[in-house]
Amino acid sequence: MTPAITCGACAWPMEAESWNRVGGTICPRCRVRVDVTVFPAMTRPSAGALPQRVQTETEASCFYHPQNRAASPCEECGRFLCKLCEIPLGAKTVCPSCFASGARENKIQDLDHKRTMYDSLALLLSTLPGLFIWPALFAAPAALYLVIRHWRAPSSLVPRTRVRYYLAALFALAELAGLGFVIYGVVQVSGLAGRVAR
Amino acid sequence: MTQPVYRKLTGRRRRLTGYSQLWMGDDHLLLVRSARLVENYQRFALKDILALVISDGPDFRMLQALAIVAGLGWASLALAVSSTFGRGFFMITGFGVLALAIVDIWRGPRCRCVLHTAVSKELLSPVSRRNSSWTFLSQVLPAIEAVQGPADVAQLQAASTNPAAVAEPEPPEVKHERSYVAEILFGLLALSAALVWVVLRTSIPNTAALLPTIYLAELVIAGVMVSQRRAMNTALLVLGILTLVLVVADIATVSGIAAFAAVMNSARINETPQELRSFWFSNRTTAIVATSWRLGVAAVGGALCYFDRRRSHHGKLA
Repeated sequence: MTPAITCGACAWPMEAESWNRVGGTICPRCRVRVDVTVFPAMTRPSAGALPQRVQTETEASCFYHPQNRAASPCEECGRFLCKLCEIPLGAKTVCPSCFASGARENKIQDLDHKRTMYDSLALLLSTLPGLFIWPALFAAPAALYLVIRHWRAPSSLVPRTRVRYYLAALFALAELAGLGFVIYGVVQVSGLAGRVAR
Repeated sequence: MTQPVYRKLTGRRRRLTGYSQLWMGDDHLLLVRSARLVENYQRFALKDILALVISDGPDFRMLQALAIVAGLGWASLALAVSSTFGRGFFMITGFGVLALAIVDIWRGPRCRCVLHTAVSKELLSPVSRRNSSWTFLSQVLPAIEAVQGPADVAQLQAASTNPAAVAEPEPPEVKHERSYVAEILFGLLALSAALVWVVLRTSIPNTAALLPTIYLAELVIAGVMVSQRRAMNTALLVLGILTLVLVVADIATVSGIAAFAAVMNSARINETPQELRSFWFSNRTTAIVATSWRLGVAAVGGALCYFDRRRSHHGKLA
């Protein structure tokens, strides 16, 4: 049974007659125009392949299911896998354990689903606290640390320039220089005041 | 770990807390959801995409026209004030609203794009306009067809005959329950009628400062009420639109610019407080007009709300 294709506005099932029609169709329920583009994958059987039983003792068996015949090796660890255990990952086939460890340690590019934008964080630290002057005393070094620590770390999955790192470093250095100047001025003035009082 | 090469498919759909964007990879679509400091990724393999459904989105033409009129009206108030600050304020904010409305119209009608796989349906929020959806489809369809082969419509229809659609039980009709925003609006109008009278006809200090707040609340709540038009009956909807028009018109009467000017003037030291009155009427007539329309609308609206609630209650019992 093919999955139901539904209207994007009201989730009403769209009849097969409305598929791939030039100019779209009108949803019978919510009366909005809907363009349904269906692809050949719709008719592809969705049931997974079943593993075959080992017939003779000389046949290679699955590492995880000794009763099942091996179908392919894991391309990470080399273990034999049956049809149940093989996990297609792009052009590779891996076993469940390599899949889990790869996902856990962020080694598999295709499973990378979240990244922290340290350049944005550094830029935030170098700008926002600066508006309140004194918090910049702590935030500017923190921003500089982030810039140096994560300079070579992978940033976004999609193309992204290093301009935020440059700006963050520039602002942080300027804030530190400005704060240093202010502190030096305060020390000088207080020293002068002390001498005058004496 | 080699970095995959991605090609931009859509612009950024910006929100207050971040944005979302679609990119094309070698063999998959990448949906990027950014929360400014963190990016979340969702991949859709081209070979697994069953369908792309693009539906028309909500129609905001009325609101766009209203925004243009309101923006022009607001900007024209610059002619009515004498201070440079006041002129700049009304010009910038008015033309800002106007520019936003024009950009919104220029971007074209809204739409919703849903990507179907065998196990999920995902709303592709970056594809939110009909115009950009054609560009998106023109780039995605060849890529999907290169992986899955060309789609034979007759074969697809024959293979499916969509049994799921036939077997699917009819979903229950979604009934839009009316919220209490109408009652809140008419209650507020009754309250502000009294306040307007107090401000205009008594000498209690600082009460005028409340008028701009009340005006903004009336404007926002009336706007919300009109936007919930599907849940409103016709009479309430008409009264809601009338209220919105009266609130906007009242800007020249008492609550809006007149009150703003009076409040600003009274804040200045060594200046005689400016009398709070409309551009057209005397002080007494202003008070009568501003109070009476509010009271009238509040009374009629309150009665309509009461009968509407009673009818829907009896309907539920039946």
